Amino acid sequence: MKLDPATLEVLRNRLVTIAYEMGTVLKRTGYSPNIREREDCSCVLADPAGQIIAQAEHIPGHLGMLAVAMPALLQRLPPEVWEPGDVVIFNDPYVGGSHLPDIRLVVPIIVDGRLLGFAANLAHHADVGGMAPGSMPSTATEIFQEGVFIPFVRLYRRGVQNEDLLRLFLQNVRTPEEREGDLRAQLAAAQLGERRIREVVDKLGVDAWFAYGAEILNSSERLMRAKIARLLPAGRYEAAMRIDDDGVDPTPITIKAAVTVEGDAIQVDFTGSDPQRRSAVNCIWGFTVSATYFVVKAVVDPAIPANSGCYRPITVNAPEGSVVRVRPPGACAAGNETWQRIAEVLIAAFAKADPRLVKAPSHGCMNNVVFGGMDPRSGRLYTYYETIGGGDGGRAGLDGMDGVHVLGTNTMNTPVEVIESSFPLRVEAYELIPDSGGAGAFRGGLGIKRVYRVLDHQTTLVINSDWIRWKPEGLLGGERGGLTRFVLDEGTDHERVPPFCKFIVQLDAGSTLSVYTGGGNGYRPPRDRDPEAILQDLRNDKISPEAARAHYGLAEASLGA
Amino acid sequence: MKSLRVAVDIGGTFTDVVLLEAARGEFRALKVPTTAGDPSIGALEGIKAILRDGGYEGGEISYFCHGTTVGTNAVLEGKLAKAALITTRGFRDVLEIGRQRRPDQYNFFAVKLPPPIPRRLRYTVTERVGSDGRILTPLVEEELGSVVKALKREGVKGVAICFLFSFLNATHEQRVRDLLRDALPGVEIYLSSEVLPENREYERSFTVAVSAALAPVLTDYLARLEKRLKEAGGAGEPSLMKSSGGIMPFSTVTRRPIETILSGPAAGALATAFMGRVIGRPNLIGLDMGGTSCDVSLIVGGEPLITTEGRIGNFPLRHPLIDLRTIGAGGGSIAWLDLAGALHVGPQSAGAEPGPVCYGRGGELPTVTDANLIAGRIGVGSLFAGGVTLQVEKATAALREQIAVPLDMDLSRAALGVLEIVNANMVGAIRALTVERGHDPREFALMAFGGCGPLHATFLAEELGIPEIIVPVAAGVFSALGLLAADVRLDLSQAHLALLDQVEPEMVEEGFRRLEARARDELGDYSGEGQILLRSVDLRYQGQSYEITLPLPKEAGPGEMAGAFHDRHRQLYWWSDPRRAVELVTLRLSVVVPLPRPPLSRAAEARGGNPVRALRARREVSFGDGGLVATPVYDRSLLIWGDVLEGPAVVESTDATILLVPGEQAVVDPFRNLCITRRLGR
Repeated sequence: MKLDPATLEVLRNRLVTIAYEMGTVLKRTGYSPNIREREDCSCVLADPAGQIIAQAEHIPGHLGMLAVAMPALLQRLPPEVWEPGDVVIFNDPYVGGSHLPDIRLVVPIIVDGRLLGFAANLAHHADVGGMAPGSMPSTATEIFQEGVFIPFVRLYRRGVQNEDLLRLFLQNVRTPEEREGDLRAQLAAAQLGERRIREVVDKLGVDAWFAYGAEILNSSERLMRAKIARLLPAGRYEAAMRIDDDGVDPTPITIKAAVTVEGDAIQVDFTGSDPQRRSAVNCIWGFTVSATYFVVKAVVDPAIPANSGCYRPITVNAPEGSVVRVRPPGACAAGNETWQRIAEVLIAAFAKADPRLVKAPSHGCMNNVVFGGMDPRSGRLYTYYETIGGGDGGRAGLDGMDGVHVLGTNTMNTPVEVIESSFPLRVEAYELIPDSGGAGAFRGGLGIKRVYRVLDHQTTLVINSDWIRWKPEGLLGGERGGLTRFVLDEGTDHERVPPFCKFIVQLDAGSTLSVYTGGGNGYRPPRDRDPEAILQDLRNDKISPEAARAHYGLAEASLGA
Repeated sequence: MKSLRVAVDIGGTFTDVVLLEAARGEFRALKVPTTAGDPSIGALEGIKAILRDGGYEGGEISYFCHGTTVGTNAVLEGKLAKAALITTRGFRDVLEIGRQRRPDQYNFFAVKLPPPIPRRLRYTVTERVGSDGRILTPLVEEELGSVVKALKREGVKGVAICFLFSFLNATHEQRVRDLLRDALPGVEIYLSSEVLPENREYERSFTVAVSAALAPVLTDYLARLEKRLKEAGGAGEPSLMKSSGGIMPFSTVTRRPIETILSGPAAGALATAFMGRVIGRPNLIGLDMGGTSCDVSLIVGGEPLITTEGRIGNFPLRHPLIDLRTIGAGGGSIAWLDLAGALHVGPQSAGAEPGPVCYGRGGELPTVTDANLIAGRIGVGSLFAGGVTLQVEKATAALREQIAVPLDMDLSRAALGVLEIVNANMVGAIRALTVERGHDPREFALMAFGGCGPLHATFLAEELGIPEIIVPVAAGVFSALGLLAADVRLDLSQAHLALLDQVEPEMVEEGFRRLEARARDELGDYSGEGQILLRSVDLRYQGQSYEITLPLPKEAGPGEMAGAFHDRHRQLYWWSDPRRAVELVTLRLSVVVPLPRPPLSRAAEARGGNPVRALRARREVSFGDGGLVATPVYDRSLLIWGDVLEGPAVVESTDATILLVPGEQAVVDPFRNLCITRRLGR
């Protein structure tokens, strides 16, 4: 079939629009704060081989994750067994996932008995059971502690819901009503995708659907290859970074990566990374792959529409049983923090290829904070989960952004007024931290200070973070930003700083948690900073006069100006 | 003495001026270049010119309305006045942190727009209200002494106050205003509990901060413009278009400056609604396609669709505004190949300078206009080109070398392909407002205007099954007509959180009564006779965070409200669950004070029929892949009521080109609109 370039472009845009329309339904009608306030969800359209042809990922952490899972799903349920009205549900992270709270739903698109592809989505549920509220227990030692573990199973068969399966699931989670609502939203989104693809194929015809679908992937692959060849110098670039601890064992963890650029292809090898731990710090294979795709896309072409074709020039290798490719039944709930580390390591490797393409290391964390307990006002169980941004790294020509989510996450914060109306918590401070940005010609962004108080009840606090002791250097002579810090009951006579960056602790009524997220690192030496920019920071109290002297050598006289 | 209604719509490149002689409904329009430094200069030039052309005097202007991008530009370019923010201790940076999102998740070099008030001008005081509205920490008034000193030293032009939970209890915000007022004479003070009494501290902080920082900019500009209007002889109080499609008198702009930020694009939607009412089409899709972008709006039951989820740059706009989809699709949109050889169109545009290749002003990249020329849809000597001969050879060479040859397509297919892509992008924007919101486009007519809208409309209608296209009179400047058709409008809201099955009707009634009292107070002289009060509520399933706004009939009880909510939820999102608890979130009141609507001049009787008098030429036009069709070209200015044109046909005027594909029929109505249908239905 001779393909028409205009039809190809029209179809490509249409499919991306459909994926985003699915995403709108999901986030507007979901119940979990992760879905509705934070957009921690993704929607895809796949071909019958499970290759993703369009994706609306609302956070980068999901990039390519379903691309890894779909072929595994098709091995378990081959194309010929799918029937119209089937809905498959799973959260098994080992087949290309992240952690148990990310539940996926897959709906086949079947026209006249012919399988045309799949509409699928993934959403982070606020709780799927397990040893701690929020199902992100940072100190779990095997997956069975982390929550309900769902393999590929059919939630609907030929349009009929499997009530027993649903009841079993809901019985095992802390907030079943919310879960049911989230699944309704996911189902509506997947079915919408299926309906829209039927409309498209009605007009286009089945043969053209397959021909153009394949070409969408091929042209993305060609574009990716052309950009790699044009942008990146051939060579092998290595980097390594550490994670401070795993929440159980205080020894730091090393992650190593070697990026090899050869012509129009990129190989990423994590050999040399530490063996997997008896802790939730481990990263699942699909998640490691997704972090790799994220960095390559950001470096090579941030605007390229994500699909399986884009990933073809990229090969990823990691030793089985390592912290970046955990073997069952290793725990993985806190792997999202490891995702951030993998991304930061890869950025450092690409910096060696060309520092102008990347930025200095950011605060590097997601800073997962979970409170869970019984709300004394309503007598019902609650789970509050949030990640807190910090400073981004300085880059060529620009300071790092202050107080933003970085790398794999780009969720929105939960407003203070929403937290206090929905949960028995009070927020007592929410501000930028002066002097936390790493000094540099282009300084790192500032971290965030946030203080929570527990009101009238006992609660479980789960923290999953990193870089409380160590962080990498800035780029090209830029300095380090501030470290992450968690303090319990700060300013009282029982103030304490937990020794781990990942911990679970019971808190009494009236206790406080102070979170200080890290600052970004600087880009190029501080002495090259424009004096006007330093004065501007001084006027805005983003740096103190002492820091201006210590890091930028600014004289007393100019401080007075 | 004639009574003239004049409107000026100032855009980035052009200033549109329209004039309506009220008695006769005589309508005039012209375009002058925008004077970027001080747009009021260009506005005055335009007004003088249009008065001169019609032989009118400035003193005959009885009503003046203005649409402007001054607010938009000030916010996007950060050219705001020096203002301060006073907020709860511990929360100095809510305004700067925003929602913690970076504007582009993959681009390492993305830039976040700076907040409207910088950190050094953000002050905190000790106070705290809790989530139930009770005071947890009383305001420490003594702390304000040093704040006042700092504000005086800085010489701020405006002050914004935003405390946590002030939408539940405004005592502290009001007290701070009282304490500041005497100390800072002449400085406007804004309370978040007045400008946006709703949940979510960042959105409320931004609204109040931008109000304080934008008001002085707008006031200065409007004072200059008013002075120039007086120079031209105009009397009476001029009005400004708001993003909601209502108008406000210049003198009240300081109350709600943020509501002017999307003043410009609102006019097109309003014009669409206005013409729809005149000709009896209550359901319309407005398509305003110009040189660089295309605005799509939706009119349902005679009213433009309103949203409270607007955006400007990376900032939120939470007051009611006309819901528009703007995409980078215009005559100047550039066709290009990526490194892998895939064809794309836009969003980059050649703009007015250098413009499309065929204009011969230095443009070298093939555009949508060049493709239209190659397809014969625009003529070489088109009236649209304003006497310039379009350079078809240059356009052909550009498209051939840059697109057709590398893609191994023949030239005409390449031109059609470019047009198909830009059309599909516009179809996507229409879908977003219709299909994706539970509206069926087949129940709407398409109002196509702007320089390029009428040229592309037929293909969009075909794709979406829209049965009728209306090309309004003066299509090129039609949107400015909306400024003359606007009513005074005030939108107020108040957070009111309660489960629907536990709601106390008296409390809701009391809430609306308070909003009505505020409306009377704000509207002053405009309040009273003939005003229309519209109540609506924001509802959601308990536990969700996006609300649906539904009109609230006075007699509706909680049961009816819940029923309407389930229905709308299903229509919008494909599912509903009547067993789930529904939550009331916000009360909304809109007050509309209808202004006398100018009659449009209509022909006395239908004298037309055969349009042969308007026939200018014939040329070969490509409508699709069926090759070239010999097509008559008509001069729109010579068409009259009753004329019937059969497609294929091209209708040209100085401001737009209209395309009729084979099988379509256009009828000229009494207002000289072209109403296009497909003979056998679409």
